[in-house]
Amino acid sequence: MNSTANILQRSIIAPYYRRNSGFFLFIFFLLFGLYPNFKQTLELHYVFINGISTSVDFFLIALLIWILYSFKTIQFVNGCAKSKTYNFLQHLNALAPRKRFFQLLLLQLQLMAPVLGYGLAVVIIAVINHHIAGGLAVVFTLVSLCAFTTAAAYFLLQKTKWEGLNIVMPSLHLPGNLFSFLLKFIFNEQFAVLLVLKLITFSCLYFFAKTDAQVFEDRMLWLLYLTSLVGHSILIYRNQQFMETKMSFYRNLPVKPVATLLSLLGVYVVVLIPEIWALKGVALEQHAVANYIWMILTGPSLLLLLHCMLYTEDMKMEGFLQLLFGVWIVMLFFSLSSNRWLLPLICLSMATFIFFTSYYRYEKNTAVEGLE
Amino acid sequence: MLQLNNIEKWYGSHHIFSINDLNLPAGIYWLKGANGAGKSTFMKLLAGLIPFKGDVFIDEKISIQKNPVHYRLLLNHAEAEPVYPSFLTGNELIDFVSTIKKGTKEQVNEIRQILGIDDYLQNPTGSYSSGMLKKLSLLLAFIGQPKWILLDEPLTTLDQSSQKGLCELIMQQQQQKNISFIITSHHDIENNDIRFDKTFILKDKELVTVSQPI
Repeated sequence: MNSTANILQRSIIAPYYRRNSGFFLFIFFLLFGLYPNFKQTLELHYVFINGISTSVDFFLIALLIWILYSFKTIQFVNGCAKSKTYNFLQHLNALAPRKRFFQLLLLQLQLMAPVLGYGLAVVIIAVINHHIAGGLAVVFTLVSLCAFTTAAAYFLLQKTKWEGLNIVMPSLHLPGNLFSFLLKFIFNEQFAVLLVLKLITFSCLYFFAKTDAQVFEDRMLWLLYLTSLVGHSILIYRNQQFMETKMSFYRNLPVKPVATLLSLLGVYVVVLIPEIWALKGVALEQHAVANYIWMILTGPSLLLLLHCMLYTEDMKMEGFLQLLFGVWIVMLFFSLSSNRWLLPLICLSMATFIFFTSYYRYEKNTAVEGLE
Repeated sequence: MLQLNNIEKWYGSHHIFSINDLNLPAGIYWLKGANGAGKSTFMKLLAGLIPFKGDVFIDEKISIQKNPVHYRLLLNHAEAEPVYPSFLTGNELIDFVSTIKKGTKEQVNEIRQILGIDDYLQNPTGSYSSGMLKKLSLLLAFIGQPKWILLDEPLTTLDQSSQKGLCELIMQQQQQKNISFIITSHHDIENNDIRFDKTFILKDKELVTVSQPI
């Protein structure tokens, strides 16, 4: 690996995967962890993969997800290009255009690796099954996405003022408070993550909630729902980081902790509206109204608990993921018991306790790390 | 009166400073110290931005530890290098802080005029220069009815006329509203028409008085 590739690897690729590790873990679990055995997982993916190369509908769904993922990678590169700490990347502009494009192509290939890996499987299966047209369509799509994202990275690293990738949401005239600021942060700066997450969780939950309860027992639905909730970890982590960096002045404001806590709860209720809507089949189709109520109460409470847990110490994403795994296991076992109605109560109580005991004691460790 | 009791600040195992007991009557104070001495940490600590051992009281009874909300109503803070969400406008931030700190539009307009803040407040803070961000942070620090205002390097990045306006504002607020100030600065503020009651220096992890009241 040459020095340029090495710098790009350490400054863009590694931080990208580190920062999105929660997201990837969630997607991986959703794709490979929900089925009883490996054989069934493979069979299901064979259906998906075959579908992408033979059915236009499947192909369009895959195309949408791949495009969204491509935008996510470009958003990340765009964030780097705008950041002062990445000013050193300007030295790349000293490379000959062809060489620069090649380096950025290598960068994009690595950022797009999850999509390219799955796409490659689709192409191989398509060739084996003689679905040449479908396979070619996938190859063309992937090559186009790589070329487009590389060109975008090339353009962005020239520091030209291109605001085209900033998804500007219609401005909502909400009263200025923590609740509205956090929602603006989520919709303005985490839109790509939110969209991908909601597309996946909504479609999975909607499908399961609509299906006859005798086909999928409700334990499966709870497993999927809790996994979807834990999949929000990336949003929660960024929300907390946003509050402690860009909104650090908030700590000097005379706001009652309970008001802060309620604002956070309100934010997570809004974030979970798609899931609440998707699950309505549990009440309407499966007639399990009590189950539905426990589910919609558990959602925001669990997200609030995860947010509050971030105040126990200044965690890196890796540490947060370990904590998440532990919480997910405990919640999963609890959801299997007949006392699952206690879940929202336990989450809310724990969140309140942790917040009230930890919020004012919390301090970001960035300064500490530099000193020790 | 600002009363500091047995203050200790550590970053992990790194000791930043200790202050046994310190009583600051109403006035204007200048906090000096070399880079890395802990001036900004001291200001953040008083502002309630970071945790510490010990306690701080305003008027002998309002404790930062026991009455955190009331304490924060009476003490405002402007950071040395202010950071705000880039998608929020200055006006949104001012409305937000005004609502919480119980500031009024008249008060905001008066401070805006003195600091020479023009129409850019309707734009997102992401488009501001460091000087514009500084002015916004200073404006926010004067909102409400604080008894103490902490200004961390308030003159840095300000143009000369704004520096003069700020010095006038500090003196005016002190004389008319009896608001007290703690200011850290590397600039020679004494030439800028601020009369300091006392100057402190953070040195060897302790707070030392370097001049007596004028």
